[in-house]
Amino acid sequence: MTALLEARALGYSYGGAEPVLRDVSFTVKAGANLGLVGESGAGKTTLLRLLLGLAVPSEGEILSQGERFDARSRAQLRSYRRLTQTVFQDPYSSLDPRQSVAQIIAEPLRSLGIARGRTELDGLVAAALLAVDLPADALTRYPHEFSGGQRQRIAIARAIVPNPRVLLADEPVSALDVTTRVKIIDLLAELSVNGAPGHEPMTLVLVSHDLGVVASLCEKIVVLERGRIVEQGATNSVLPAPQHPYTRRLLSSVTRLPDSNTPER
Amino acid sequence: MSTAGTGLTVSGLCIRGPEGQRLVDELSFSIAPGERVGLIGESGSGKSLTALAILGLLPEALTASGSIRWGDTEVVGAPERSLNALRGRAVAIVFQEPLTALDPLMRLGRQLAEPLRRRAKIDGTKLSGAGLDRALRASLDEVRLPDPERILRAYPHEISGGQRQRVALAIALAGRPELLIADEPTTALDETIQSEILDLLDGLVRGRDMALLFISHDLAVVSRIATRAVVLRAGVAVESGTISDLLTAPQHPYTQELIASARQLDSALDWGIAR
Repeated sequence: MTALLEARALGYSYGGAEPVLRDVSFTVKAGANLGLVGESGAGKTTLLRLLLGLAVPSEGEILSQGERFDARSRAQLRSYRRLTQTVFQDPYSSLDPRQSVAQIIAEPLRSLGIARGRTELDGLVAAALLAVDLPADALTRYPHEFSGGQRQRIAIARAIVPNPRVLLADEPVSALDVTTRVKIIDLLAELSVNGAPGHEPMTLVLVSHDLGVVASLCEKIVVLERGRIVEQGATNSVLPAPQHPYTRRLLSSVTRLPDSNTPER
Repeated sequence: MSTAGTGLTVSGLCIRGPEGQRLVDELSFSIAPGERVGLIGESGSGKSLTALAILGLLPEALTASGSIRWGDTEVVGAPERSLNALRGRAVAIVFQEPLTALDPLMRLGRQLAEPLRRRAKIDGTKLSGAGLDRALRASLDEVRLPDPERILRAYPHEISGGQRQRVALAIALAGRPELLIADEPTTALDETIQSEILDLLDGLVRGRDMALLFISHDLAVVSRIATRAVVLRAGVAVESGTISDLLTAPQHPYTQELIASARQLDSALDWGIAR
């Protein structure tokens, strides 16, 4: 099976400075969500920019369904966007405040020229809204009328409406309260296991510093430290037995709830 | 002003918005000297407003009623001058984002020297020259910041987020407060740094026998550092008790939901995807 997305020996440096990414390679296969983890300075943001086609790698290449992806080609960028959609961290700044929810969700359909005619467009938008559990009357309202969690649902509806195969999610729940966080995780899990109604399941590429979130959603994990991959593999073999000291350090610094049967210190 | 040994008592605190809406409603809790109390709530629950009210720093559009007593001093409705004597010296605060607490145009050495001098003056001494230099280094040493020469000469943007939070902590501690309010002090930091800062805070609070009000949306972080907590939702305290009681026998459905959500993420780390 051809990989949905493949990073081959990616390197990137800003200007002539020290590279912020070196020799980064991984494969995204359909049905195996991939988590990219690391702390600030690990190169997560730069890697995401490359995967979004906002920057072109200095070294190596990105393959999209086996074809080399060149973000400088408008035609390629366009077909890439049909395949790969994005959800960002901050649901307060990622939605245009002057557009209604209906306009926001319809935007990828318009810019990618997907829907033929008003009826089809409205139908796709309504279906996306339903898939993220928002009420139908949300369509005529504006982003400021919604809570953080609801806004993130709007952003997810916008991302899934063109029926992408890959959903790139950049810290999609880290700006949300913990009770909202688990609900959005459940939604992303549903979209990646069963897909939105009438759509195929999507594969997630999740960029996050939060190991609990990655463990909840991703079958595969890639650990980045200062621009290099220090460890990658199946999440359920890496997390129980991390090989690299950095992964061990990340894991041991997660603050967890004490066991309910552990007596107080 | 006498403050020693009486702690903080908040009773029937109400904070109202410009249109009279209740942002915090009949909140009551107390913190004994040396006690570590958590205030848990999600965004908009009123936890940061409560912190500001304790310092008498609410924005002008908001009004507080009820009572916040520190020793013999009533904070609600108190004149600015009497509050100034309280701030820094009896109660100090560190915020989530240390950049907002630090002056971007002033070297860190000067920013730290100010509260050290003020405290010395209260104690009837004067800090300058070699004495000040020693005090500055001792301060940075206490928050475990190496390379004091560089830090003291640096501007806030020249050091990392974790280092900035340590400097903000040193500034808060410079007045030797009896109560430290920490408002989401580790939320903006990477997890490995967060863990270090929590350990540091824990050690400092125990070492100085200082009281702590630790404000956070993160139940796991609160349970690591506090012995007791108040759960705040939409301005109302829905439950309070010792951390172990809250975790083992939460009474309110909201507390139960908070715990279930946190446990769901924790168990993913142990068991992976539950499907």
